[in-house]
Amino acid sequence: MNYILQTNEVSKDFAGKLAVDHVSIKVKKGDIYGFIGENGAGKTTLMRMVCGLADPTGGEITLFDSKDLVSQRYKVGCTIENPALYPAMTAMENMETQRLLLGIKDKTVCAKLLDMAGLKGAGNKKAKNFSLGMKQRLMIALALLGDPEFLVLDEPTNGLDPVGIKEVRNFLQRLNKERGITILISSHILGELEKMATRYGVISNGKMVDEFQADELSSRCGKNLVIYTDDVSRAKEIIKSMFDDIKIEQTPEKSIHLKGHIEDAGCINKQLVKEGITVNALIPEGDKLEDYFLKLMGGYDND
Amino acid sequence: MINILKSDFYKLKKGKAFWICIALCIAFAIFMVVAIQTGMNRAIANPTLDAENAQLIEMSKQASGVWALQYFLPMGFNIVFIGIFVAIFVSSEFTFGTMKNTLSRGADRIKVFFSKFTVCSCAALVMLIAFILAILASGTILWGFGTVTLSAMLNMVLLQALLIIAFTALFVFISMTMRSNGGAIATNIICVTMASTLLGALSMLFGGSIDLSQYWLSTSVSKLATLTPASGDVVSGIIIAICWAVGSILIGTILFKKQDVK
Repeated sequence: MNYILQTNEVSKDFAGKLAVDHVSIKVKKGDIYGFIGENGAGKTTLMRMVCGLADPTGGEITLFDSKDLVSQRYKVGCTIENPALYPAMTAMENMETQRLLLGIKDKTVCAKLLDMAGLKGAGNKKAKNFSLGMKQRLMIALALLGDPEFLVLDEPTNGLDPVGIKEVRNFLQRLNKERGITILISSHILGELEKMATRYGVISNGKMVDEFQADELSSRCGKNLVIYTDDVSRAKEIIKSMFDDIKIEQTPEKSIHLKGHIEDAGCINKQLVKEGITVNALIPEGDKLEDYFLKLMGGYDND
Repeated sequence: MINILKSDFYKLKKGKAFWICIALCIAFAIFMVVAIQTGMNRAIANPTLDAENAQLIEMSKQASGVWALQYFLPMGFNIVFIGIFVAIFVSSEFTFGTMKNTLSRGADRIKVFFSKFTVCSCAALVMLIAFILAILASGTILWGFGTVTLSAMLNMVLLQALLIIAFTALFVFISMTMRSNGGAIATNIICVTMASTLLGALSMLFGGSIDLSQYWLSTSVSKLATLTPASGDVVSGIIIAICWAVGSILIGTILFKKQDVK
């Protein structure tokens, strides 16, 4: 079994509008698949179809190499959209309802998972008194009941503070490495996703825009040259005169950002020094996932 | 199915709505018995010639626990509480989003529907028994138990139970379809309190040749809340209950299978 999840040309139509338009993704065993897209791109709709909460209007979903999705879903843990909890029940009671549903005999598993999710001591607290971050953790603990092989997490770090985000990231990485759990995760915090995802899928307006391995990111991302000088305005004019098709920006930090032209760094340095400008630093810098995503979405054009 | 049932029974046990609705059923039953006793006492103390007083005096002559049961069951107060409970128990799964947790782990939707129906039916029967016992107990304390054969009593209770299960099936269908607490509570209450009148009015619109209200569950509840029901009423009551229950479950499961869950 190479792929945990495969969607083949999956579509979802809402009153004539295609929310998901012939999307094909492949999630390999052991992947942490970062699913990226703007609001309303179709991420959650696709995840809901994977989890059996919505039926596709077209295409095919395969889970664990099987098309009998209902029988395979006990191996899938999900958190889709907002934390889904019984507010009047305690964390432990919420866990217990799911434990009984899954037919798990071991009663101690709930306490163990609560500890693991960082909710030690909060088991007897009612879910309605939880912060959003605690609810997110409880949802992850619920999703982990039954030892799932595949986790589908829709914005699980939503509402968490920076410490919480880091803890959840470490927790998910640990689950991936130690238990071999494959994870499909969506998040708008692309910087966080970049730190853990091994593969990415980008969706826009219901259509799959790109799908690539994490190590392909650097080759796909644009390279910039950042130049720090003592006279930014003059340096900018000199560089402009050197190249015809140059995209150059002056930043508030008194540096110059050049799109591309990494290979011309030496030449630029030589020319600036020749013109009597002190070059304090010349730093090659790659785009981050966020920049690449914005490029794909046409974000730079909008700016 | 067993696991879904276990989980749903656990939610029933832990949920406040069930216990509050039972308490309200009991409190309402006692309150009504005490209220009618107060009315009877006043009517006897101040005998006037108006019809209401005369009726109360007449009632006081035959009052007993068993009589109270036959008097209050047709009013359907307990069914209102059952409707409210089912609406809260079922619709909450959608308003809290917890239905996602059940379905995303591969639970079959038909089994989920049947589990909700089974658990709600059990809860409704407990509420019916609590209501009956509260009326019988408070009535017996005030007026004595009355005369009744065990078979007649059992017959009445079983027929009421069948009708209550049919009502529950309808409530589960409504709550599963509406998926909002407020909407489901309102619709379930309307079903108990106003549907009979609405169906009667509808019959008049179509010429009055068929009285649609005769096929409504509340009408059968009223007709069969007696120790000596007409055999025709018993047969029609059973058929009506089965038809409503099967129809609600069938349409409910079909709709639930097709609908997306948010």
